[in-house]
Amino acid sequence: MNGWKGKILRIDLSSGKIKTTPTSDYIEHYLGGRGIGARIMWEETGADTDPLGPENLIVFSTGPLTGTTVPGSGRTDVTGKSPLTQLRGRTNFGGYWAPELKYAGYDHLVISGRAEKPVYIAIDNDRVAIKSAEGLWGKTVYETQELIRKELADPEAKSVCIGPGGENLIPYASVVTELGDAGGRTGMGAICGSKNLKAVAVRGTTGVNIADPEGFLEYSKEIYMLVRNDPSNQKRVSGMKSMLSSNKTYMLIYGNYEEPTWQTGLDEMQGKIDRFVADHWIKHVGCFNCPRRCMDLINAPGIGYDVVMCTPYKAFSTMVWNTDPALLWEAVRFCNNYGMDTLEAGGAIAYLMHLYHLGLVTQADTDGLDLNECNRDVLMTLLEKTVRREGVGELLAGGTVGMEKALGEEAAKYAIHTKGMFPHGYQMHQNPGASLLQAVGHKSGDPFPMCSSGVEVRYDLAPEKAMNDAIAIFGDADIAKPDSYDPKKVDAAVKSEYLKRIPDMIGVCTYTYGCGEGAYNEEVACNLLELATGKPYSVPKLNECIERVMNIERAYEIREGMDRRHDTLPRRFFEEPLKDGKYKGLAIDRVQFEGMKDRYYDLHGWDVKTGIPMPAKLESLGLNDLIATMEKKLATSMENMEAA
Amino acid sequence: MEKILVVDLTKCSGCRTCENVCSLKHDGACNPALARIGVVKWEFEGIYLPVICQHCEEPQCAKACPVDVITRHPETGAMVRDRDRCLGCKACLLACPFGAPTLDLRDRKPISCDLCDGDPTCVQFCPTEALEFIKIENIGLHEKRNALKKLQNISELTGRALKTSF
Repeated sequence: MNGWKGKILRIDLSSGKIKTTPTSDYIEHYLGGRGIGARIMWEETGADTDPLGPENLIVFSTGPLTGTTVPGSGRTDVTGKSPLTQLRGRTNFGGYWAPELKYAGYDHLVISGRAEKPVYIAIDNDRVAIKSAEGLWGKTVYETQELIRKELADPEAKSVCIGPGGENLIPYASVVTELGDAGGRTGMGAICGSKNLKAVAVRGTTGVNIADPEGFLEYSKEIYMLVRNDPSNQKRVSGMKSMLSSNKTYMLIYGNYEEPTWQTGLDEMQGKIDRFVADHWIKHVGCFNCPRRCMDLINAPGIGYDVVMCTPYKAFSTMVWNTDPALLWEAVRFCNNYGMDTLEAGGAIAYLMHLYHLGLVTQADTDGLDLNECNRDVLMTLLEKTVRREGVGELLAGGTVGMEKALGEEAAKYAIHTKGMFPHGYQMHQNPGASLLQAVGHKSGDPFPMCSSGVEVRYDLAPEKAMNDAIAIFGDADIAKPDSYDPKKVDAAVKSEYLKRIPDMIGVCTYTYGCGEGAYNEEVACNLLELATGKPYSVPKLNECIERVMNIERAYEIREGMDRRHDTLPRRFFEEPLKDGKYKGLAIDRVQFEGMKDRYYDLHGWDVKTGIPMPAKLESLGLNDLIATMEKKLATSMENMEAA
Repeated sequence: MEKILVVDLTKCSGCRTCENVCSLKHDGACNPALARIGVVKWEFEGIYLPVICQHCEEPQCAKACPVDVITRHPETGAMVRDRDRCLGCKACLLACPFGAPTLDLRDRKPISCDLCDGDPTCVQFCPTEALEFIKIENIGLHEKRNALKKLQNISELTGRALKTSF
C-alpha cells in the first residue's frame, strides 16, 4: 500500500490482546490522521465513557503523508475523552515519533483497557510487546526515554511518555517525546496514567511506500523549498527573543487577563531576554523532515537543555507576572519533564494569583506563599506542589475549571475558560473572527483559531500584508480589519476550519502548512496525496472528507450534552472593556457575536437555534448512523433552552 | 571539475530530511533506515552529526573488499559499488574509519553514498546548509570563511565584555 501503511494497531491493556485492523475501513470517508481518530472515538466511546476509566481510548494517529519527504511530516495527532473537559480531547505533538510508527507498519495506535501494573508498549516493526514499567514509574520524561533506550538496547527507539503529571492523573497532564515535543492540551497524559501506561516506544524500518517516487520527490522538493526559502524562515530571531512581539498586535495577556498592558514589565523583560538568549540559545531545531525548525534549543546552566516554542513562553512570563527568563525556562522545562500542559498549569497559577490580588484567597490558602510577586520560590513551589497534588497543589491540579468549582461563586466570577479549558492565551477582543473560532472550536480554541483570522491578528503589525493575504486566501480585504463583525469573517472562519483540518488529516504540521498563508493549500494537498498514494484526490473530494470529520467532531460534543449555549466565551470578555491600549474600551459585543454564530451554524448546515447538525446535512455526508442521536439531542436542547 | 560534499556539523538541526530524501531517491520509498547518510544525534545535548562516505583518496573499503566491487566513478569521484558481485561480507563496513556504509535491510549487503551521480539530493534539500557540495578548489577558502563567521561571534562577546568591564 502506498502512503498509508494499511494497519491500525489495537492494544487492549486489560486483556493484553494485540491485533491489527485495516486502515482501509476508514480511508475512503475519513482520509487519515485526525479524521480517522475522530471516527474511532465516535464509534468506540460514548457519553457514559469515564475519561479515567478503562473504557476510554487513547488514539495516536498519523496520516498518509506522515514520514514522507514533505515539510513537517513528523506529527502525531492524539485523541481520547478528556478528563479536563469531559468532551473529546485532542492534542498534537511533533518530534520524530510519528514517522517511526509508520515505518513500523502502522497508521494508528488505539489503546483501550487498563493494565494492572505499570507497563510500557514496545513496538519493533511487527513485534509488539507490553513490558513492565515498574522500573520507570515515577521517573521524569527525559529519564524514561533514556532508560527505555537502554532496556531495549536500541538508541534509535523513539518514545512518547508521561511523567509524574500523568501518573498523578493531573487532568491536564501531557504526553511528551524527545526534548519538549509535548502533546499538552486536554489531559491526554492523564488517560495514559489511568491505564498505567508509562510510554510507547517505537522502532520501524519498513518505510513508507510511494506510488510515484520520482514525481513525489520532485513535487515535495518544490513545496519544501517554498517553506525553506520563505523570508519568515530565513535569518530569524529565536522564538524566545520575539515572544513579546504579540504586544504589538495587542494580543499579549497579563495575569489572568487582568490587564491589557504592562509596560514596566515589558521594558524590564526584553533586555533580560536578549541577554538570556545571547548567553544560552544554541540553535533552531525542529521536527522530522522540517525546514522550518521553529523551536529554540536552549541550555541554561543549572537548569538544563530543553526545546520549546510558542505558548509556553507566555504561560510562565506575562501570564504569571514573571520577568525573569531563567525562571521562565526552568518552569517550562519542569512542565515538559514532569508532563503537564504549560498553558493550563500557567493558567491555574494565573487565576490563583488574580484571586490573591483581589483578596479572595490569602496566604492561609497558598501554603504561606505570597503571590504578590512572582519569584522562583513562588513559581517553582507551586508547580512542584501541583504535580504532586500537595497542599495548594491539589487545588491547582483541578485547572481553572476545577478551581472555580472548589472556590465558590465570588471567585468563579474571575475564572477564564472555554469549554473547560484555559483559552489559547491571547487577548482577542479586537479580533471577532478569531474569538468566534475560540468559542465554537470543538475544544476550547482549536489552536490557531487564527487560521482565518491569522490575517485579522496580524493586521496591526502589517496592515497592507494582512489585507493582501485576506484577499489571496478569502477574497476580501475586510476580513483582515480588526474590531469589525463583518459577516464575511464568519465565512472566512469556516474556510479556515477546513484549511486547518487538511494538515491534521493528511499527516503534516499545521505550522509548515502555513495556516493557509502560503506553501501548502488544498490543491497542493491533493497533488501530494495523489503522487504518494496513487489514489486520485480532488479539492471537492477532500473537502467532503473534511466536512464529514467536522460533523463527527461536532456530533461527539453534542452527544456529550453540548449545544449552542456552550459555544461562548468567558463572561468577562463580554462584560469587562479593555482598560488601556489601542483598543481601550473594547469588549466583545454579545449581540453581534451571537449574530456571527447564527451565520456560522447556517453555513455548516446545523440547526441555528441549537448548533446541532441537522439530519439533511448528516445524510448528505453519509453519516446516517449519527442521525438518531442528533435528533434526540435536538429535541432535548430545544426543551432545555425553552425551559431556561 | 570535481566537487566534494562538505558537512558543517554546527549547522545541522537533526531534521533527518537528508536521510529521508536519500532513501526516496535511491529506493523509491521513504525509509531513513535505508539512507546512505546517517545523522547521529545526542538529542539531550543538542548535538547532531551527519555522517557520510568521505570518498577517500585512499579508500580502506576498496582495499578490504575481497572481490573488488568498490571502485571510483570516473566523473563524480564517488566510490561506487557493484552490488551484484558483492558477497555481503561487510569487511568494508569494518574497515571504514567513519562507519559510512549502511546495511541494506533487504539483501543485507552494504550500501553507501554515490553522490547521486553528481547532484546530491541531500544537499538540494538541507534547510540549514549543513550539507554543501563544493568545488574542490574552493574548499580551503570555504572553510576559512566559515571559521571567520564563527570568530565574529567571539569578537561580539569580547566587545560586550569590554563594554561592561570598564
